[in-house]
This record gives sequence, structure tokens and C-alpha cells, in this order.
Amino acid sequence: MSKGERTPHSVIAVAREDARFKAVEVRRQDRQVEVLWSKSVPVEKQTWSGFAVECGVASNADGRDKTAKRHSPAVVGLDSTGVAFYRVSAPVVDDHEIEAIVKMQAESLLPLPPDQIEVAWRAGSTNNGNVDITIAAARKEHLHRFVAGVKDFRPRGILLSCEGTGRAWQSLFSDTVPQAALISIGAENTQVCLVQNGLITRVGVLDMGMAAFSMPSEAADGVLDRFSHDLRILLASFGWDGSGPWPVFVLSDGSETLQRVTERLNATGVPAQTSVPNLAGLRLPAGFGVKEIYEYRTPLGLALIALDKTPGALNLFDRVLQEQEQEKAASAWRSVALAGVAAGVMLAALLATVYFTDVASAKRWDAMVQQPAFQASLQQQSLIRTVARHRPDMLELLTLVNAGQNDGIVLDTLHFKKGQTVTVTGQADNSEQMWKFQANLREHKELKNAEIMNATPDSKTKKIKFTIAFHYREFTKKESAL
Amino acid sequence: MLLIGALSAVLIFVFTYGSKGYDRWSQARATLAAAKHKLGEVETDSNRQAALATMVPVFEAPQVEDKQKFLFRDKLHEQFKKAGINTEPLQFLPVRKPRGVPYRVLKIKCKGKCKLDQLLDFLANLKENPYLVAVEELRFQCDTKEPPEKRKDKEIEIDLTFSTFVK
Repeated sequence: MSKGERTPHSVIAVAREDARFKAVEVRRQDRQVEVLWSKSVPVEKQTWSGFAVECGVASNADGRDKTAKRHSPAVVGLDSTGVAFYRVSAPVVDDHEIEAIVKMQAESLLPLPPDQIEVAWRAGSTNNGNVDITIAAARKEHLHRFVAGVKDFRPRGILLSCEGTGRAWQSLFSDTVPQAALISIGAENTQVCLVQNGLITRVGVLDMGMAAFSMPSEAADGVLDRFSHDLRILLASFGWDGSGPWPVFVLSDGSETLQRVTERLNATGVPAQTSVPNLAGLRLPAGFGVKEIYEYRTPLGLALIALDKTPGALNLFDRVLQEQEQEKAASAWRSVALAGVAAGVMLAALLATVYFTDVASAKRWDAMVQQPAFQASLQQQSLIRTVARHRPDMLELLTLVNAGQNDGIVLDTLHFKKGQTVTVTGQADNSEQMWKFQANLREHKELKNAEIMNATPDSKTKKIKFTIAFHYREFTKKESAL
Repeated sequence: MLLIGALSAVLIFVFTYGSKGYDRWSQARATLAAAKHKLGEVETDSNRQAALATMVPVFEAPQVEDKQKFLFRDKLHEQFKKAGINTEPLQFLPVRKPRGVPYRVLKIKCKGKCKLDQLLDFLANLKENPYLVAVEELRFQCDTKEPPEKRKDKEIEIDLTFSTFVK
């Protein structure tokens, strides 16, 4: 966890231990540690990604499961089996100089080229002007693979599992002291850590575990003797002299097997005592007791480190994550550049296609309209349209003038000339008939502005003689005359 | 440096051949637009085509004046004859070139007497004249001295002017 990040109130801690994925969510409330839930799945039935979904911190691949929207931050533990621990001494100087010394010493200690190894270090106690330094080293490739594996947890931090175990012992087990060697027996192997002032300073792994110790009594005794022998050698490498300077604790859930292991160690000259979980100050879910705290000791310890934001944790992942971020950024740039080039090529292809299509179409269409038959047809059609535009329909005009009930109306003349109003003269028995005739003319939309120009009574015939003028379509406008 | 070099090469290529290509493209698009416009002038609407065919069922392309005037006169004369209308000799009016029309216009004027039925018959068949553009003037007059009830079988005086296009 980087500086400046807020200390979370609850955290999900995940670790792979004893061939199982284990996860717990822990909350600190009212100075009490509360375990909210726990999950454990065999590794052969699940992957990191699948377990992340199961823990509700990631969505399904199809995105239908939306439960992962909001969740507590997660921390993940890296199994210590892939990590080598060294203990070196250096003069008391400032951190930059210590870093250079650590780098030099690590290069001489490590079996691989420095560029393939990631190193984290932590200064410990000072003795006679020298500072003890714990170095943790792991292959970069292994770390990158691990980060890729646990990416679905979007972990806020990746810690060493052994640090979680050490922290769990300090906070959740009985008989804790400032310095001790812890024996954490797993299913297939045993992790031995030296804890000094709450920090892991040495770690070793023995390849014997509960599977071997659970055998029938006589066979198990032989295994335990070998285990005791290996343990003595390992503890001696930590600086143990057979009785001190620190006690040896076997982490236990109070089971008979672990009690027997402890007794056998004592019988073979390793004075060990069991340390069992202490439930005081813990709020646990129903069914969660000593055995479960023991089983989940590593993720619980990791969660406590994350909740307390314990300083000085060995962090192998800072540079790995940085490199991955840089790789991601570079990959993003590469993608943008590639997309740009692809877009450019597509644009060029599009332009070329449009260009060649236009040129070919222009050629084909132009050839088509230049054909004599087409030209002649077009000309003929144009001519017919011109004629139609200038041709009045005389039958229609006469029909319209005579249309409707025109009782008593007798027409004497009709005069149509393009560019002039049409005039009709006639006779009517009375004015009403004449007006009716005018109204009839006005009803036709083809005839406009029908007006009575004059109306005079004829004394001889006792009739009214009249002249009416009107427009016929567009033909009576001045410009329509040819 | 390699990138700048590649970019420069692309820019040189674009500026050298791009403008030529663009000019050619513009020309092709203009040609295409002109061809499309010309094709757009063709009447394809069947209703409008039918309406045009009703108004102008036949029309021959105009000939030179000396040829067109006689073709037109003869056809008119034939149509008058067919309708049984006796007219005074058909009279050519001076050719003129009106605005907005791609041809010159020749008009023929005539006077005559006929019954109303004959006139209607003549007008109904007039569209069959392949040289006729339009009836420019129509005037008819009944004998006003006759009482209306006796006019039915009497002849009316007619004045007609027709137009045709000449090259």
C-alpha cells in the first residue's frame, strides 16, 4: 500500500495455502476485530479469477453477475515457497547507502542474474554498529505471473504470506513474545519463521507436513524424528543454539496431531510449545472458532497488516506493478498507434475506392448520355413538353363555359386569344340568370376572375345583353402568346 | 528519424500526386453530376408521361420554314376538309422568334363558316396534326339577328389562328 492511501475499515484478504484458496473479510470496529465471512476452495476446483468471482470482487466473464460493483479493498498473499530469504549485516548508514549495499550483497548471494530477480529488504535490529537486514528475493517472472493471476482481485497490496502468519500469531494467538521461532505446519510442508519485534526476519520451508505426521504412530515417529532433525538445522541457521535465544512455538488449533508433534519435538531435543488461537477481542461469525482461526491464520494476518497499515512490510511487488503499469501504458500507446495506422489505411482505401468508383461511373454515365439515341429521345421529350406548355385545350374551354345550369343564357360570341382575356357575349332573360352564369364560370378553377364587363337591356327583345371576361389557365397571360 | 523520414516521403508523395489526383477527381465528379442532371431531365413518371401523351399525342420535329409551312398548311387543310368546314384561303403570318422557346414560330390564320358541331369535331381531331403547336386564337360568332331558338342549325362565323415551330 502506498503512502497517502486511507487505512480501510474493512479488507478482504486472500491467500493460497495448503492447496486451497482461502479468503476472509475482516473489519475493525470499536477496537475489535470482526471477521465478516470466510471462504475456502480447493485449488484444483477453482482459479484465482474464479475465486475472485466467488468472493464477489470480480464479475463473471459474461458480465451478468453485478455483485462485484462495490466491495472492500483486497490484499493478496504470495506463498513463501517461491521466495528466498537472506540475512545480511551492514554498517549503520542512511537508507540510500543501505540500498546500494543490499543490492551488491544480493547480487553475490543470488543464483540468477540481477535483472531476473526482484529484491525487497528490511533493516532490523542494530548490533555493534551493524544493522541486520532481511532480504526477500523472488524471480521476476514468478511475480509477474502471480500479479497476472490475481488481477481480478484488483489488490490494493500484495504481501508475503509468511508475514501474514507472523502477524496472525502476534495478534490472534496465545503466549506471544517479542521474539520467537514459529512453526506453521501445513498440509504438505512446514513454514518456519523467525519473528523479531513483530517482523519476520528469517523464513525457511521444510517439505514435511500434516499429511506425513498423520500416519500411524510408529511410522509418524520416524517422520517426526527426521522433521526434528531438519528443524534443528534450520533453526541453527537462524542463530538458534539449542535452547535460545528465543522460544519455539508450534502454531496449533489444539488438535491431537499437533500436540503429538510438539511432544515429539520436545522429546528429540527441540523445546517447543504450542500456541493456540485466542478468541479474546474478536467478533466472529457463527461457527467460526479456534479451528477456523487456525485454518485462516494467514489471510487473517494479511488482513490485520492491511487494516493497521503496518509499516515496513517486505514488498516485492512495487517495481513489478510499476513495470506492468508502464507495459500497460506502452501497450495502450501501441494500440492507439496501431488503430491510427489502421484508420489511415482504411481512409486511404476508402478514398481510393470512392475515387475509382467516381471516375468509372463518370465514364460510364457520360458515355450513356452521349449516345445519339438518348440525345434524340431527350430532345423529343423536351420538345413535347414545350408544346404541351403552350397548347391550350379549346374543347376544355368550351366545355367549361357551357358547364352548369345556365337557363336562359344564349351565347352570341366567344373570343380566345393567347395573351388576352377570354370574352364571351350573350343574352339573358334577366340579371339573375346573368349572375348565375357568372357564378358558374367562377366555380371552375381553370377560369379565373370572371367579370361582367357590361350589361345592357335590349328594348326590342326585352333581354339583357352582356359581356363577360375571364382568364383561362396561364394562356391568357401576356407572356404566353407566341 | 525514421518516422520523420517516412512521414516526409508520404507528404512529398501526397503533394506531388495528390493535387493531380484531386483535379482529376473533381473533373470526374463534375462530369458525373452533369450526366446525372441530363438523365434527370428524362420524364420517368408514368402518370406525367400519360398526361403528356394525352395533350400531345403526336409531334414531328420542326423542319425548315419552307418545308414546315406547307406540311402544316396541308395538314390543317386536310383536317378542315375532314370536318366539313369551308374556310377562306389559309393565310401565313410573319415568322417570329419569341423568348423562351428554342424555335421560331410560324402562324396560320383562317376564317370560315361552319356549324358548331363541325367546329367541335375539328377541335377534337386537331391534336392529331403532328405540326401543330397550339391554337393561338379562336373566335366564333353566331348570327345575332336570328332568335336563339332558331340558331341551332345555323352556321357560325369562325376565326382561327394556329402556330407551328420552324427551324
